[in-house]
Amino acid sequence: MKPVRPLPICLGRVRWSGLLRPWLGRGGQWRWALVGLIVLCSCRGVPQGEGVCPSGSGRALGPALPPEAFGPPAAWQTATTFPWGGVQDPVTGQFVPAPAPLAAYGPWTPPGLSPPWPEDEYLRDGGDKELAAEASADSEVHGLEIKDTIAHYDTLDGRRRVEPSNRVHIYSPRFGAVRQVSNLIAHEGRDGWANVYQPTKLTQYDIHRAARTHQQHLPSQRYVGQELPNVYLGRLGRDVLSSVLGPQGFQDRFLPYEDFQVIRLGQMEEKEKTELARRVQAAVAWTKDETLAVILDEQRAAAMVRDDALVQLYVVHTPPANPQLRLVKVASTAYAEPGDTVDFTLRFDNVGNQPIGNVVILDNLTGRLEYVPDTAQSSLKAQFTAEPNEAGSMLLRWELAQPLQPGEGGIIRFRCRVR
Amino acid sequence: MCLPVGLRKMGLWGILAWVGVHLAAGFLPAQAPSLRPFPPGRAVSADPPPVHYQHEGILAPGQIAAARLPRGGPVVGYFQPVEIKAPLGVSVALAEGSQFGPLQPAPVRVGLLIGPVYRLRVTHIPQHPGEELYPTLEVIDRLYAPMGQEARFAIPVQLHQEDLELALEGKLVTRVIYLEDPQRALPVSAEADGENWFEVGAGRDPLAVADQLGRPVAILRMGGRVPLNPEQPEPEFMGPPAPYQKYPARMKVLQPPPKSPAATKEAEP
Repeated sequence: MKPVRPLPICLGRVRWSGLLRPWLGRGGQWRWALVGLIVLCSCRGVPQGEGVCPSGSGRALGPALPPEAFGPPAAWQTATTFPWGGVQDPVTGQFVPAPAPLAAYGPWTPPGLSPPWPEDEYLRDGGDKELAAEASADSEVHGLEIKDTIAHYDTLDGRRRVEPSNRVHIYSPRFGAVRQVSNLIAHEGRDGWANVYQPTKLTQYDIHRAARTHQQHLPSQRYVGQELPNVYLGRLGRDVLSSVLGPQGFQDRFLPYEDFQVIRLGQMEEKEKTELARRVQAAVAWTKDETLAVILDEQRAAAMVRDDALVQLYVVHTPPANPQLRLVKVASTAYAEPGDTVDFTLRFDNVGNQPIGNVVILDNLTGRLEYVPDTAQSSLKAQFTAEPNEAGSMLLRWELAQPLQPGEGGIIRFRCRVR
Repeated sequence: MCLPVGLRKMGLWGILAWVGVHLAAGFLPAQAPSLRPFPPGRAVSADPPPVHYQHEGILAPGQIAAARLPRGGPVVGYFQPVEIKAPLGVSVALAEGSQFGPLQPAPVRVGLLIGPVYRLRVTHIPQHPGEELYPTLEVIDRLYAPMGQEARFAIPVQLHQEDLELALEGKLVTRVIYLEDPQRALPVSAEADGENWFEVGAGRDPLAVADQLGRPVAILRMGGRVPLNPEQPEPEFMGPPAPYQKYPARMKVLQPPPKSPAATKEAEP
């Protein structure tokens, strides 16, 4: 009986049966086992720069940094002799620390993030972050979170609107400590873990989704022109700011940190925007030009001349109703240590073209700020209340007694102690 | 070959398949457990994922800070201001090369690098004349204070009288100083001598607890070994030399009591 020979597999001039015979024949399984082990062992390597977080904890021992901040170290760092940077003087043999990067001495912020950073070193007060605050018809405010500062008012057409203030950031880090007392006499054994969870970083993740809807691009049927304002009418502030005293009286003199036209007179000036933005670190609040709200307060007739008409047509542009309240908040200092006092000033103005009523200004203080009693002031007559909030601080509330006419405004001050 | 009977029956191909399946089952989940996207519409828990801490606060001094440097950011070469506070009368000296520097009455403000371990010498402890302690201080992160305000907002390292006495009794006291998270800040004023602190038991990791409360920035360890000769300590005890910066002591300017606006207005003519 002839032995059964494997079928010759010919592909070109190579006899593949001869090549596969050591892998498929007797003893070939050991070769497969060896190759498999080599492949599996090579896959156990952790990619460089990923996987293991070299910090002291699984979470970042430091503020959250963007991926750009984890770039390769500078050249002088790699050439150092000591792990913390530096070289050894060849003459004296002493350690010479490496020059610190320039950014280390300034308000360094990671690329892609805007100051203030990191947030855990700053106290924020003002604005309306995260949940948007809303005021119901029965004057109940929803969504007023800790550190929010808002004002709500009623318009002539029956709407109740909410206007947040800008944010004020004060550098005020506070520290704590965790103590552990160990007895050196007792024997303490520690077991090592069997499996270490190594977080890996996602390099690329693409989701391909089919379009569910398709919208046909339609041509515009009409064209709405935009008319630029041809006359700028500025609003002048009141000569006497405190004609009516608030609940505790009002200090007529302006404080040094209130030396802004927007605080003194309610007028926003271009040259003050930079300094004001630096003071309150909320440049977003000033980027929107609000001159449109001012010019709509006046009617002006303009002549419209047409070539195909024999007469002139005079039209009057009636501005639409635009009730608007502006709320500006500044602090007396940008840095404060625990125990220091900080003065806050709120400037409110009716920058719309309609009177607004039932103006209520709310400031929900954070737990790090303690309201100093009897320091609330108001340039306009207002009812002031302070009640505890859930953060262990106070919710300050001013309710203006009179409606605000267009162009009218006032000032509110109060003092807080940093805990 | 001396193989078990069960393995002989499986044959070599069966053994290979069994090994391959088990290796794949143990390897794949550990490689990328979080890469699987959630299917659309699935409810995701709002709880933070479990955190695994690779290091503990009881590790040898220097390990955690040294591991902080490769994480990026301007931490290499930056002298982080630190204010060492202690009870009245206590003097503190820092290691300068192979010896200790001059003793200075607390509080002492210095700039320390992130990474090395600084050996301190604490003397003139109240009610314990002639006794000394040699704690270690390790700065593991820095602050990003505004320009010109770096020294004002230094990391406070408090040497409490109770901690000093515990260390003199032979206990090892570990204090992890952390920057408080403003979102979780307690609505209480800080103590008059500096900070609010918590106590954790022997079974918990103080570094992990501090990480949950805020951002750990420094670790103080007291109660370790003492040098054989305090005047000429051995190099192993002092550790590698580390530079630091000296800052002048801060004078606390007492402010006048705040005047109420109403009183100010009444005082005006």
